[in-house]
Amino acid sequence: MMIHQAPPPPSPRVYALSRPFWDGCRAGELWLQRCAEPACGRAIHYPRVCCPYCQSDKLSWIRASGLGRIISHTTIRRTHHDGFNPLAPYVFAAIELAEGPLFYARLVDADLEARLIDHQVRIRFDPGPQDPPVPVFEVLPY
Amino acid sequence: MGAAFEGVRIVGAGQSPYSKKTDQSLQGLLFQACSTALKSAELPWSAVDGVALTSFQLPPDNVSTIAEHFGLQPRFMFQGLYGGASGVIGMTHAARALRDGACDVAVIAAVDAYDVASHNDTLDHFNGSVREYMSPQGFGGANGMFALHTRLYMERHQVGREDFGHFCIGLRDNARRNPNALLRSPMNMEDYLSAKPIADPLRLFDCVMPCCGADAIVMVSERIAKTLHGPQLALLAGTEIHNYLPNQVYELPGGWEGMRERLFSQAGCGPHDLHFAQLYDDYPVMAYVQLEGLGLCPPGGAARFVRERGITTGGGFPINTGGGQLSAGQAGAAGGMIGVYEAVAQLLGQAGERQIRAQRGVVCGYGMVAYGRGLSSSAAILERVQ
Repeated sequence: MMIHQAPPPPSPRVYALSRPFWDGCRAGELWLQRCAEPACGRAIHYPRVCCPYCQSDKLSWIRASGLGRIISHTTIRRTHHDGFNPLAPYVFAAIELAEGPLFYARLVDADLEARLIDHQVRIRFDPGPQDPPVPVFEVLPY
Repeated sequence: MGAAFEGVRIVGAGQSPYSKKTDQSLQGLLFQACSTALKSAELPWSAVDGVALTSFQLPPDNVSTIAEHFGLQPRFMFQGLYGGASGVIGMTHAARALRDGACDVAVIAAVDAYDVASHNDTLDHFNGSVREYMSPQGFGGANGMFALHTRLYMERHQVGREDFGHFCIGLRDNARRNPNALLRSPMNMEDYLSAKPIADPLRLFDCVMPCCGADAIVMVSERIAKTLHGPQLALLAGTEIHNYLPNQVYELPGGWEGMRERLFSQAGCGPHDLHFAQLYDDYPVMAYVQLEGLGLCPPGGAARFVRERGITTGGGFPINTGGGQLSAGQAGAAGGMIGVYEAVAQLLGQAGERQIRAQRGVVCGYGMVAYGRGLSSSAAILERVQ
């Protein structure tokens, strides 16, 4: 008898440019690029070859706080990939990290019906089927 | 008015049948749309020396191999790489080529053949940032991305789902007079509000249905235009803007606000001189952002504009007169051409039962979903001159 098994959710590909970010996730830490130009100094995500604000190629890596604020959110009821079906419905959010950049992530243990804009969130590195592990966020008490 | 593309004329429009499934190849759908457009222009295939083409699914084939397949010898070609913004951009680039004497007869077209699964698959790999930093994170595809935009818009302007419902219901009404639209059954507010939830706050009728089809128009140089006797349109203005604004963390897409001044100064008219709009309606929130960005109504005023003006073919300001992507269907990259086709068909007087009386209108494009938003916005103003 054939048993239909859902595929795992897609895993990110790791390139030299993004390796510090994904190595951080493997270690349970959030690492971001930061522009080393003193006049700029902005934090950057996703990893790039230059600062998108001032085009400087002097970028360093910093360990980030893992804290952020929800800009907007949606409850995904029809997934884009069968690998997410076991998780649905779930909340997906656009998050402004405390250091500045936009970060997309699933929220875990979130109220599917609640208004969550401006709520504070904290990163979590839960074990899952993806390699490297993809970070999720939890909503902090308001 | 509008001397930027002086002498260049738009003279034909064509569309393949739209369908949920097709046995036809992409080449077959494309050939059908282009042949119909050429026939409406009373021009033979042998006259074509310019091609602007957009398709997500055509690779490894492209505009060059299509030229070979069809036996053409173009002097101008354009391959649209800006998703749903490419139809308007292809038209604008072709207009420059025609104005500058690079070619005489250009076909501008787009084609794709999607269902829900293949559409999701394309979007998963749409570009590097989506593939590594959005899809593995569970973004929910285009529906998820635009649900985020929709919630932000609702929060910012204090509007509700009904405010988007009026738009979707108006488009459905228009689709009923378009034999080629795929969603033609009547829809009321109750149907809209109670549809299957997809990605809150979006429900089924906020989301386009992936489908199969092709759209095309024909443009000619001044030299050729003088030999033709049918109706002709001028391109008063054609503009594009990409990655507007580059230094925002997260915002509603604002490209039309960024190009508005250029668009209307090039056209030599203002937003209130327009008689209709063909907006890029992958989601109702995007149509609202375009109405506001173009200055047809104040920020946050789109729902009121739609409600008060009336957007059906019998309304005060018709929008997406063929039902738009939301009721006709989104044939992939042809979603960026369906508005161009509809604007041209209306102004040439080829719109059949849904024909409106109009001399001038705007058409918008939008595409290339990436980290944070779609990156490419376009708009053009067309006017009947003959």
